[in-house]
Amino acid sequence: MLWRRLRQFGGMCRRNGLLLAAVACLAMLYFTALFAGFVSPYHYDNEDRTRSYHPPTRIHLFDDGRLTRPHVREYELEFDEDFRRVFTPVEGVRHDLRLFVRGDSYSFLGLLEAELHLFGVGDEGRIYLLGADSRGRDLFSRIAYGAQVSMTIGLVGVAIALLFGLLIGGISGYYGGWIDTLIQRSTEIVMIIPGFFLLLALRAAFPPDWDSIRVYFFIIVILSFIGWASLARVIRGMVLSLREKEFVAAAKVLGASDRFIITRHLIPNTASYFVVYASISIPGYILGESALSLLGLGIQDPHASWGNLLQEAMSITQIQLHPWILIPGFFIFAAVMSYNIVGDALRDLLDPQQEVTTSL
Amino acid sequence: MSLLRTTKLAKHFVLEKDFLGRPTEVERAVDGVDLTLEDNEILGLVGESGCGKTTLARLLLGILRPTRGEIHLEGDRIDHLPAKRFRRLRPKIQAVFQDPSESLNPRFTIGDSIGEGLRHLTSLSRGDIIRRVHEGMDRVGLPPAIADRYPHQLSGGQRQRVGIARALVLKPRLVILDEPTSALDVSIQAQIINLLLDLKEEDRLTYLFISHDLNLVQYISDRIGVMVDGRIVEMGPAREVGEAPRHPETRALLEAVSRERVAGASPP
Repeated sequence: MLWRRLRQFGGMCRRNGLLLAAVACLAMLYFTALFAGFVSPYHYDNEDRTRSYHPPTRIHLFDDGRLTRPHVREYELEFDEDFRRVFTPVEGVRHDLRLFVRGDSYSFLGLLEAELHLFGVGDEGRIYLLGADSRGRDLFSRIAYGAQVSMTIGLVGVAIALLFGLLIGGISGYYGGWIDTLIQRSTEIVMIIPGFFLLLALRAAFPPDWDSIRVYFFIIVILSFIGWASLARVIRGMVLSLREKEFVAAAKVLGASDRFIITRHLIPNTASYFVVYASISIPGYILGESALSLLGLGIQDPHASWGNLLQEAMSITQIQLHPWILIPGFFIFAAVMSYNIVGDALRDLLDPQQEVTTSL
Repeated sequence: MSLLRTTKLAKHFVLEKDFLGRPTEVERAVDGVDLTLEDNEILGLVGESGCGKTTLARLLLGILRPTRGEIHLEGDRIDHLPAKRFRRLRPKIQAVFQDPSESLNPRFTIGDSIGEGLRHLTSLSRGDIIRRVHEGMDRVGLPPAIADRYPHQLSGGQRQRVGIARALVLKPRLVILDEPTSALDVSIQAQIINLLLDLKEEDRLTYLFISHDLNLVQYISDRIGVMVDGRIVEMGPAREVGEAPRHPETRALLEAVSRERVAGASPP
C-alpha cells in the first residue's frame, strides 16, 4: 500500500515540475542539515571581527586574463567619509579554492569528530559565500548549522503533536459521552488562546538562561502543545464516524481490547488525513521557531537558527547597508513553500475531499 | 438443554432527554424477545430493515448491553457479565457480518483479519496462529497465497469467505449470520450459502440466520421467527411459516419476495 502510494507520488513529481522542485529543495535542505559541519567551510562560531559585515566573496576564475584555478581575493576593511564599511581588494593576494580541505573540527551526528570540509580557502584567507554577520562569522556556515534547528523542529514537533492529537482524538471519539465532552472542552480552551501569545506566555514561564539544547526541545514542546488540539478535533470527528463501521463491531466480537481498536483499527484509518496534516503543519513549526528566535526567546547566540540569524536584519539601516543578512529569510521561505507544495500534493493524492487546516 | 435462550430481552435507545436528563423519546429497538436456539439448528430471523434484527444480534454478541431481560448460554446467564468474564465466552458466539467490504478493516491483511480473534482470545504463538489461519482459509476455499493481500484486492465473494473464516477459526458453537449474503451477487450468494451449510454439518454449528429475504431463510432454516418493531410476532417450523403465515407482516414479506421475483424476471 505504502509502496503504491510512493509510486503514485513519484508520478505526480514527474508531471508537476513545481512539486519536483519542492521535493528537491527539501532534500537539499535536509542534506545540508545532516552534513552541516561538512558542507560549511567554518564552525558556526568561528568569528573574525576585522571582517565584520564582509560582503559575499566573489569567486574568480581568471587571473590577469588567464584561466586559473578558482580563487578568492583578499579584501581590506576601510571606512569611508560616512564611516561606512568599504572592503577593497588587496592587489596580488589570492587564495585558491580547494575541495575537501581540513579546517575547524566538528562532530558528525554527535558521534564522529571530523575536520574535513567540502570546500575552503585555507587559513590565510576567508571565503564568505553569502557574506558575514556583525562579528565576521560566515553566514553560509551559520545557515547550514541553522538548518539543523529549523528543519528538524517541524518534524519532531509534528511527531509529538501527532502522538497526542491522535491518541486524545481517538479516545475522545471512540468513548464518546462525558470523556468526549471533557476532552473537547479542554481542546477548545487550548484553541481559543491566540497561538502566538500562548507561545510567548509559555516561554516566559521558564528560565531565560537555559542552554540552546534545552531551549530547542522546549520550543518543540510549546509548539506541539498548541498544535495537537486542532488535529485531535478532526481525528475525533473521523473516529466518531469510523467506530460505527462494521469492522469495529467485528473487532469487538473477536475480543479486541479498546486500546487495540483505537490504536490498530481506528487511528490507522485516519492516516490519509494525518499524513496531509503533518506536511501542511510543519511550516507552522518552522515559522513559530523563527518568530521566537527572532524575538530572542528561542535559540540563543552563538547557536544558529534561521530565526535568530534574522535578528541582525531587524533594522532597516542594517538591511540597506548589508542586504545579505536577509538571506536566512529566503531559506525560511523556501522551506515553508516547499512543505506547502508537498502538502498540497499529498492532499490531492490521499484525501481529495478533506479541507486540512492547522492552528499554527 | 438449549444452546441459547433469551427471556424478555429488550434494548431501548434514548433519543432525546429533557433538561433534567429524563428520557422524553425512546426507541424500543428490541422490545421483549423470547428466543430459543437448539444445538445444531438454523433459526432464521426475518423482518424488514429497522425492525431490530441487527440490534438483537448485537445484544447476543455482547456489543450492546440489554436494557432488560436475560441471555442464557448453555444454561448460564451471560448478560451483565463483567467484560473480562465475557471475553472467555467470546469464541463460542461468533458472527459473520452483512457487508464484507465494511466488516474487514481495509488496512489489515487477510491473514491478520482472520487471525485477529486467535490473537485476542487465545494464547497461541504466532506460528500456531498462522497455521490455524491457513487451515481456516483452506476450509472456506481461499488460496493461502492471498493471506498477505488487502481486502480491496479481493472479490466480494472472497471477502465474505474471509469473514466466515475469521469466525470459524475460533471454533464457535453459535454463529450469528447478519445478512451474510445481501451485499453479494446472486450467483455468489448461492456459493456462500452452500459453504455455510457444509461448515455447519462439519462443525455441528448452530446458526442464527438474520435476513430480510424470507425465501432464502425458508430454504435454509429449520425454524423461522418473524420480527416486527422489536418483537417476534411469529415463530415456527420453516415450512409452516412460509406456507401458512399467520401474521400480516409475514404475508407482506412473502408478497415482497414474489413481487421482486416478478419484477426481476426478464420478458421473453
